[in-house]
Amino acid sequence: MAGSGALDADVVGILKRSYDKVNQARAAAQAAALQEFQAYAEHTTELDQDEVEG
Amino acid sequence: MLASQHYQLSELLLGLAHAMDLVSPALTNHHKRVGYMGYMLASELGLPDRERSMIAAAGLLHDSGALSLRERLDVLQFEVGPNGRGGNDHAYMGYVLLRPFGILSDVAHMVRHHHLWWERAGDCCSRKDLLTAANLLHVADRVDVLVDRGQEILGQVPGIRERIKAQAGRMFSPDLVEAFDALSHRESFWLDTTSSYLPTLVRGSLDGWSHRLNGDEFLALSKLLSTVIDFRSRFTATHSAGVAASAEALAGECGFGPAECRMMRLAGYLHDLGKLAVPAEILEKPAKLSPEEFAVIRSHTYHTFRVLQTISGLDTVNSWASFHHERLDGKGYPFHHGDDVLSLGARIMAMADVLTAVTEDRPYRAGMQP
Repeated sequence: MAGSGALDADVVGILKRSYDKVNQARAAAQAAALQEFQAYAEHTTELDQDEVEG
Repeated sequence: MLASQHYQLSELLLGLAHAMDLVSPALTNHHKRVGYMGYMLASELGLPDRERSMIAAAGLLHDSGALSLRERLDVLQFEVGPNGRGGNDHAYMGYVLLRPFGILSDVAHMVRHHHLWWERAGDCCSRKDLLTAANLLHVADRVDVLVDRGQEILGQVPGIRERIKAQAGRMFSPDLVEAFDALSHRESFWLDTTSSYLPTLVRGSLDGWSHRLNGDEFLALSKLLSTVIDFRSRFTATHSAGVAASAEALAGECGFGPAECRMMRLAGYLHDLGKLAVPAEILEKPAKLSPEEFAVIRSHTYHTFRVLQTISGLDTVNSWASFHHERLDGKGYPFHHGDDVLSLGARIMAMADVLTAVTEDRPYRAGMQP
C-alpha cells in the first residue's frame, strides 16, 4: 500500500509511525464484529428454539 | 459537531431502502412500494398515525435479512409456505439485524413475521400486538409481487384482487383482505405505486413517526446498517467495523479532534453502503470477476455517494465516506477526483480501506498478516 503514489504520502507516513496503534484498533473492532457475525450466522438455532416455545 | 447535529430517521431508512432496491432491476422500488402500500392499508383500517408510519418503515426494511440476490428473487413468488417457511429465514434474519436498535424494536418484530400466514399467527408467541401490522405488511408485500411491472397496472387489478381474496383467513386476516379490497378500487393507489412521485409519497408516509436521531443514536444506527451491508458475505462481515476503527484511529494521529474522529468512524460505517447494490453472489465469487461483474463492484461508491446525499447534515461525512476509491492522481473511481478535491478525511478513509482490505480473506486469496 505504501508503494502506491496515488495515496497521500503524508497519511502513509503517519500510518507507518502509528501503525501498531491503528492496526490494534482495526484488529479489535474486527474481532468484535466477527463475534457478532458468528452469533448472527447461528440464527437458525435460535429460530427453532423460539418456535418450540411458541 | 456530530454530538450537536440531529438527523432524520426517515431519511436514513429511505436511503437504506433505496440502496437495497438497487441490487436487481426486478426489485427496483420494491421496498418503497411495500412501505407505501402498507401505509395506505393501515390508513384504510384507521390505524393511528404513528402505527401507520411504523408500518411504512417496516416496509422499507422488510427484506433486509435476505442476504443474497437469489433469496430476494425467491420471495418474489406468491406463496412461501403456511408458517412462512421459505420466507421465514430472511424475515427472522432481518429481525435479528434490526432488533439491537431500540427505536426499531417494533419494526423489527413486524419484519420478523411479515411472511407468517394468518391461520398460523395464533401459534406465534412473539409480540401478538404486532401481528396485525406484520400481516398487513404481508398483504402489501404479496400484492407487490403479483404486479407484472412490464404491463399496464390498472388492467391487472381484478386478478390481483381475486388472488388476495382467495387467501382470506389463510395467508391474510379477513379484515385486512376487506380493507385491501376497498383500497384496490381506487386507481390512485395503483398509480401512486408506479409513479415517479413514489419517493415523495413514501417520505410523507413516515411523517407520523418523525424521529430525530442525535449524534449517538445516528452513530449506533450506522453501525447497525454496517452489519446489514457486511453480513451478506463472510468475506466482508467485519470490513466496515475495521475501516471505521482504523479511520478513527488514523484521524486522531493526523490531528483530528474527538468530534471529527467520531465523524470519521461514522463515515467508516457508511462507506460501503452502496455495496447493497452488489449481489452477494458477486461478493462471494471464488473466481476472477468478469468485466461486467467488476463494473458492478466499482459502482458501489457511486451509490454510497448518491444515497448519503439524500440525508441532511451528512455532506462532510459523505465526502469522506464515498471517495475511498478515488486517488490523488485522478485514476480512482467513480468521479476521478484528484488531489484538488480530495480532503484529508477522504485520504484517511482511502488509507483505512486499503489497510483493512489487505488483511481480510477474499474468495480468491487469503488475507495478509498485518
